[in-house]
Amino acid sequence: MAQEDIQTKPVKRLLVGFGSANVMDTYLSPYSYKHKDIRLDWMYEECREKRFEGVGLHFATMENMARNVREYDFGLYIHTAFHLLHRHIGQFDMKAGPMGYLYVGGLYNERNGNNPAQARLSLMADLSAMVTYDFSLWNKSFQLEYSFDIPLVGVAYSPQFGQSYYEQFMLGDYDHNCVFAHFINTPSLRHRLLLNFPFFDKRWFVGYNGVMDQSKYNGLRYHSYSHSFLIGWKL
Amino acid sequence: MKKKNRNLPRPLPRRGALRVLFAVLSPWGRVREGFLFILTIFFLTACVDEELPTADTPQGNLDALWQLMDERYCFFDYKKAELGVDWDEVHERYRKKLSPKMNDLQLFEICCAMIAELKDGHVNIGASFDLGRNWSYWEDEPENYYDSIARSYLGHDYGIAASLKYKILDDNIGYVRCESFNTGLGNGNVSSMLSILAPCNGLIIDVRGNSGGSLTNADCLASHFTNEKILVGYTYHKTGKGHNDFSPMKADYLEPAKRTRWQKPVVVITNRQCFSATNDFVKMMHCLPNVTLLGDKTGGGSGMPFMQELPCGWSVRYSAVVSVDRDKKHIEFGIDPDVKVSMDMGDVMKRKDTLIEQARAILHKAI
Repeated sequence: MAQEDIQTKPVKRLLVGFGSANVMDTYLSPYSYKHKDIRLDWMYEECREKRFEGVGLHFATMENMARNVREYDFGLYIHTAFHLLHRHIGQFDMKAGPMGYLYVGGLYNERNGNNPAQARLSLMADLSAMVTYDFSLWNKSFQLEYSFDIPLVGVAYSPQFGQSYYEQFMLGDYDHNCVFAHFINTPSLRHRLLLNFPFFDKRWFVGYNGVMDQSKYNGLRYHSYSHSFLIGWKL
Repeated sequence: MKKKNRNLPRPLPRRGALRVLFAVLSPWGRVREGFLFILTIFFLTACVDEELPTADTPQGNLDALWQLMDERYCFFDYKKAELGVDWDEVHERYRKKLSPKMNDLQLFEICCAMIAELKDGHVNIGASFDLGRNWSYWEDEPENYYDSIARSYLGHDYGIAASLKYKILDDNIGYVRCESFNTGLGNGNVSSMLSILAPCNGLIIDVRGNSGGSLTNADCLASHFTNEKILVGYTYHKTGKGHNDFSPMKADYLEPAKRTRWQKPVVVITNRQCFSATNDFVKMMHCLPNVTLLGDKTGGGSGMPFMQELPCGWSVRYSAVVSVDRDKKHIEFGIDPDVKVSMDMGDVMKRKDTLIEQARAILHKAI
């Protein structure tokens, strides 16, 4: 594949990942679940010159510190970034712009009774940036890609501090369950480093994916930290 | 004073990597500054982590239990007024009983004694070897129920509609035994049962020994005894860590079921074991004009329980959502019957259930 293709043509790729997870949601437990943990990721992405789109799924399971209860974290996300700012210098290509990020997911605790799970739903406007560096080794083209996004502002669903799902969905009691989320009450960061390389007539990707999702609203605190190894291929 | 021109290009550093970085960023001055501002805010507000003690030691666990309850339990003011519970004083008193070398059983005993001060059946500590509880609300009271005698009223040819067992008694009174609200109960079940019992002159709903279950099931059963939407109580929940951080009260209504609805007199038989969802069922039935409560005061338990945990892994159950009656009065310690009746030992010897017999008499009078 010619080096120019990497820069100009849309790249469709599929990535899978596995790694560690550390999740805390004080609606379910005051403590982090981070033992005997594993996180699996699946992502489909399209990188264009000024757009970066993707859809992904993740699933994680982990135990509490006493290792006698398990939680299951799962989610689906769809994002589209409009890289309106674009600068190309030498082998560096830098893009940045707004990103729309929709997340639907949940966290299930296998022991809790009336508060066994927490639903997650958010629609955020993020700041997205991506830097790529093209280089050649052994007469073959490689590309190093670093990207990150930071949620800036949006809306998210959250129960109140001590509000039950029975009140919300059976009695229809609303109590600020749609919250205004911003980078102060949702200080989150998702970033990734990928190496794009040729192997057996195909372009492959390997790298690291780090997710630091956090929120603190309605008196509830949440974090989901994960570090995953990614491997993928160009479609 | 000379104004700084922000658009002027800055001189590039001489070193290679920095030079490239500045070359990339310098034309984006405002973007870069905005980005740095966001990053600064991000790192200032970052790290959303645990707030409770995390040490798995006797003191760490007791402090975590105390703080967890202090922030999340919903009846502190009521318990202070009724029982004189001062939660800060309780903490100090039980902390003195700790020793760093105590084993799990000893710590469990102290933790259970501490939560028992609240006299709340919904407050429990769950360990693999025991369940910490205070069930004195029914254990210290007469049961007013003999299973073998009550079963003799059902005989062998009773009907079963989900969790409900029912029979038409000899005097044309329908008898419905509801032992639990844990099992799924649908409108179809209740409607079919009431259609079969329709020729009866009155109905007895016996919820003695029913310690609760799903509120949805309790609602479902009660909804077949009203023809109109009625106010049955109010619900509110904690909105923060303060003892008085509550949401506004939200009115709870009982909506009439869409299918068969009972129109004749009803007697609901209760005892001290009627707890939680059953207490709520009795609360709703108490609002209906053709319903009489008979037996003993219910066990209460009007707080919907949530669960959390301690560093050692023990579960902690506590009341989180408050339910009060239509007069906004607490029903945490139970609902008084309209007619107080206790089991008569003479009847027991004759294998008669005093409460069922009294209920029949009331229904016959009402016809």
